[in-house]
Amino acid sequence: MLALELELPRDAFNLKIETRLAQQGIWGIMGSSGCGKTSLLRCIAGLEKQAKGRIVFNGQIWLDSKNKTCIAPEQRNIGYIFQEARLFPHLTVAGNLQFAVKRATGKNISSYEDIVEQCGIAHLLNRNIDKLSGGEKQRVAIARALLSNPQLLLMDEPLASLDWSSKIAFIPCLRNIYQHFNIPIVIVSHAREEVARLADYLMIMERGRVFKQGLCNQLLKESVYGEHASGAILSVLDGEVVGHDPNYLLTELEVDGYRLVANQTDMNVGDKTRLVLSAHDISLVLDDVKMTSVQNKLHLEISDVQPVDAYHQAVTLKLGEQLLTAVVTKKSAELLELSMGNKVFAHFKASGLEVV
Amino acid sequence: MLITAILLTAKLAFLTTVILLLIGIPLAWKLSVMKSRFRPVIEAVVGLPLVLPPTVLGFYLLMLFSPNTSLGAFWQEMTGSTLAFSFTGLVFASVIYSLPFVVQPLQRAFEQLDHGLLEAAAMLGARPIDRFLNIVIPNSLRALLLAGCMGFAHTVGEFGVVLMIGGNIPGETQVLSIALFDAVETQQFDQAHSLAAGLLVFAMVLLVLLYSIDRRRIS
Repeated sequence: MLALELELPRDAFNLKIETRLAQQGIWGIMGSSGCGKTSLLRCIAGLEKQAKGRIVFNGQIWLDSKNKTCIAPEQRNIGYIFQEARLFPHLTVAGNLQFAVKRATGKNISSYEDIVEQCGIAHLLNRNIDKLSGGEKQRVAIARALLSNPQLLLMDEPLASLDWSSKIAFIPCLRNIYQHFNIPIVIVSHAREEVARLADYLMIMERGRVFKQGLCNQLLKESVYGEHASGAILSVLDGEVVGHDPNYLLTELEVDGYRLVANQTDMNVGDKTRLVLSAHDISLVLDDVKMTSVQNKLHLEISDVQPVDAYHQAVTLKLGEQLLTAVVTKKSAELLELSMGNKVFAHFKASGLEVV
Repeated sequence: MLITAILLTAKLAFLTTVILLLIGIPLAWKLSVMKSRFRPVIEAVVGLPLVLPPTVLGFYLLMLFSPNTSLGAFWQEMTGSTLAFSFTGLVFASVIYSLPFVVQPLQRAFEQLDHGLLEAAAMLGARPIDRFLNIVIPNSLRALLLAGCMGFAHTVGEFGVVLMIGGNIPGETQVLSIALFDAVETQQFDQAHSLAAGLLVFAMVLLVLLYSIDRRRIS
């Protein structure tokens, strides 16, 4: 999809990227602040004039400094969502959208009405920009970008300016945009929680270089102990909705043959889903406790025990082909004699299991 | 005589303002985005009329307008008259003299503009001219109004340059400030009073309007 050979001089260190983002889907770019994530995104968009190298997107050459080719940003047909939305203050919401419509080239990815509805901004059209909340601004920015019929969406920390509840409300909207419009998305974030909920593939950056890249689930587990991301340690699982329990408002899920229970969602039976579970919400028990209020109780084998810091240990458990990470204190780990190969019961509440 | 001077001054100030905006907007934009080390030199040249005695400027312009220079000769060839002591010469001089009053507020406004908006517009497919006309200009309307008014008011208020290159020809170069000077010289104090008071009130009203617009922008 996207082939990159890039060099960009920067104050602290040079950005030097050589990679291919081969798979279509949502790509997350993660790394600590100042590692060059945003610069990379700006290079792809053509906003960094000093960038040297080669960028090829689906056969289109956007940059080839050897042959002195550099396509201007306005001709790359990219939708760019900036961290601060960057709506035009002299226009209303509808005016901002029309700005994009008037300049759009190529085939319409969808109708105006559909895009407005998918982004949930139909009630905002006549508002002035300064009357919008942070989340509303980002929704308008995304609708505006979609209306320019982009062939690629770049998002620079689109959730950074939002509070946690707005973030939670926004994530399904972003995933839905990928599924509905089928445009590849590259999203930059420094927060593991965001990437875990959004990305299919992940590139981890460190001081201007690619540190690792691959499937999001896989990489997030490997980078649990790294300093490449901020936020809580968590597990990402792929599962399927197998039933609903309307009496108790619960949804039943299956992950590699294991049955899990989460708070009820509006997904349909048979839907593939992603589950996010914080490592701190899991407690480990040696005995098979029968009477407990906890809904999820799995008997799993420990595949790895690693220190997180001086007082905590991360215990990785095999859940079929997937992995589940729990964080316990060092004291508990020693008391329970947790080590590789042992089997333990992992307990967690239905409300701790988030269905994305 | 008074009406002629008022009309002449208004015509001069209006024409000068239009030309100044046409020159000043692109010049101010170029300066606001320029990274070259010559930028201070260009800014100094633009700003010269702020500090130079108007007579110095007038003197050099008079020299430049003389048929012995290439510009003067060219002008005489084309029109059959000299630039000095003509209305066209006054417009020419006023444009130079009032240039900083238009360029500087515009440059400040362009520098304060969120250039991120231009990147956002580019990503939506807007080319440079499109971005300038549809993002930069609409977001700088107050500065444009301020620059236009300052250019107009300053042209109305000029005296030294006009005296040097325009002289005192009614209907051609006798603007209000010159008419006032003339009235005092010939001891027509009634006329001098009304001219002086008129110019004072005009300047006061314009500045109050301008500053009230400015205040609203801040709050």
